[in-house]
Amino acid sequence: MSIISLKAINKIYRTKTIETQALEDISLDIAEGEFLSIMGPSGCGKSTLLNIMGLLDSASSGTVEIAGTDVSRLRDSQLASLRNSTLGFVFQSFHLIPSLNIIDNVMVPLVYRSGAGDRRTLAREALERVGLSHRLHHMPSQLSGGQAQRVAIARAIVGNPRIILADEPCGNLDSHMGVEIMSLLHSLNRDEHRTIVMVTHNEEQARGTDRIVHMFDGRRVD
Amino acid sequence: MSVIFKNLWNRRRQNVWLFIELILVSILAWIMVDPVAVSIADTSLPLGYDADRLVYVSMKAIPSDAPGYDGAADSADRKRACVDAIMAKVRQYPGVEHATHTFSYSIIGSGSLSTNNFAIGDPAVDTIVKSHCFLVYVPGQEFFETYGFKAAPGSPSVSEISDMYSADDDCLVISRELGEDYWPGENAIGKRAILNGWKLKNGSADTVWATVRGVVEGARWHSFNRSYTLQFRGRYGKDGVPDELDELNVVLRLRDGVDMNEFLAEFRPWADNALRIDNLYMFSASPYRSVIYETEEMFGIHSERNSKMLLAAFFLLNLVLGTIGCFWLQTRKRVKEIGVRRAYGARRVNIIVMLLGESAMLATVSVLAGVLIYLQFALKYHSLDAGFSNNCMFSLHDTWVNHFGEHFLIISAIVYAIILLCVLIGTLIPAVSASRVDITDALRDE
Repeated sequence: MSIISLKAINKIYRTKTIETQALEDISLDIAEGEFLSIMGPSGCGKSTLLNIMGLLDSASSGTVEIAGTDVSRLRDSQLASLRNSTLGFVFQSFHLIPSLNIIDNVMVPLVYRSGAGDRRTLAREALERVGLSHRLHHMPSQLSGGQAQRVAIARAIVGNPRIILADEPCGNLDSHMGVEIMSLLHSLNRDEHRTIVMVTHNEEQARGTDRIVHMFDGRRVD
Repeated sequence: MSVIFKNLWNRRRQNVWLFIELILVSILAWIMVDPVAVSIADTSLPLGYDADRLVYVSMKAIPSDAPGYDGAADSADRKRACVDAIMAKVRQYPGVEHATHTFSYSIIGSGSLSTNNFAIGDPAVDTIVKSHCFLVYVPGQEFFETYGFKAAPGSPSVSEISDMYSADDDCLVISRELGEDYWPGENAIGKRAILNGWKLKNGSADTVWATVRGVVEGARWHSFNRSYTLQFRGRYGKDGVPDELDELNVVLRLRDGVDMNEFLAEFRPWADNALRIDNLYMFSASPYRSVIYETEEMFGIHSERNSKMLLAAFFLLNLVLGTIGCFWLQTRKRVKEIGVRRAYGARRVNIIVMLLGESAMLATVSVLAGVLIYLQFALKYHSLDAGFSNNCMFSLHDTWVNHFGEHFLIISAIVYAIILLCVLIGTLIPAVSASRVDITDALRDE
């Protein structure tokens, strides 16, 4: 049973003078619990594909199913609800909210969820899992890159989503930190059976995942 | 709410400047809005008489060196007869219910107004001295009926008040508000007051007493920047006429249902002939409202009121643009945060409510601080910027303007509403716009 199913996805960006096809006829099924890497040169559409899977962007044509739900007919509020309950994001540049401390950043997904229980406790537990329980009240500016990314991972998992989408999670980190983050993602996949889709340029990191999808000029080439 | 409080606290460094700005804006808004609100409130007070049914007939005397002047008519008896004849003719004119003769310096809304220093109490022991505006009326001339004043409870009827006259002392008619101010809970009829209070206090004059003969419901002089409570003094004898006949004028009260314009169209040509008696002739006849308007023009009331309005409008425009601009920028800077929140499940409405809530909370706290700071000033000087005063020259009408607490709360509420509106507009438009930005674009925002 696929938790993510893409069928004949096309994404075209149109301006008044130019039309750019970012994705062309992409079909992809990702099983629950799978750790998938997407690789390809810059501008080949990896992040666009990840954004469509994450309901951050919409496809120009084709079908997207997330956890058995066809998202094409969902309203904005329903998409928001599905993102909140099912998806967690890890971005290359962390995207922590600078005015919030660490624990408040991790609590962000829970704010938009009713019946989330004790948000502070859940956030503290998530930070414990990424080894940052001693930095609860630090501000993002006080963290190293690796620590910031671990906070981002804590934020991605605090709502217990089935899918984690990571867009070059180690792209802004040195190799040592990169290894640490990859180890964390692997443990989330292995120990908690979370589905992870990761965009990366790093072949070594990709090789450690269950499957690699290669892209070139908006198409799958594997 | 907890998210709103948390965001405000976490963004306190950015918000402190907005907080200070809004405090200053609140104080300035108070100073600007107060005079306008007081002016509007005063203008909307009832006059206490029926100006809409009154016609002002201005009489002139032929100068002694002009052709047509009748020297034989210059005796006191002829003058008295002339006035009586004029009054008899206008009272019999169709459509006229009452008529009174009065003097150009002493009509309500005229260009002149006298003040006296009214005092009560024992001059040897203690007196309360306050200034009041007063108008002179001629007893026996239907003055109060013509204007349409209403007698206050416990007072003789207006027709009785009009006819009362005592040769021994001034006959005083006061407003109900004035009576309640001086003799709270008592009937003011028969009470004695000292008319030359300040002189008395300075020990430079003999005491001049007056007796309250009548009390009418609030009569208002509104031709200054504040409305004044009036008192009336019957100064001339029942048969008396002034020496200067060119000060004689007539006020007519039309019967209910008589059209002012139609009346004047017929009255003017009639009066041109009929009211030319001895050395007097009719100079003009116009609606009483126009007398009030012209008086206000002469005193610059309109231009002063317009200046206040313009100043307030200019200030408010700047306030609106400045506040909207500040909040617009603050909200615009948070597009990336909005993108993150939306990626994690925030709906557009969540974003808009959060941003509006933060702005509203900030505005509420700031305005509260601003008006409390201003309150310290007002309490220290025992006055508000406009309107409130202990001076009885001003209106004693029982309105919010003259109650410190109510006045403060109402103007503060207006200031709060204005600032809140500005802040919400300044937040709403960019908030809606930012919430509509594609999440991927928002996350790329720098």
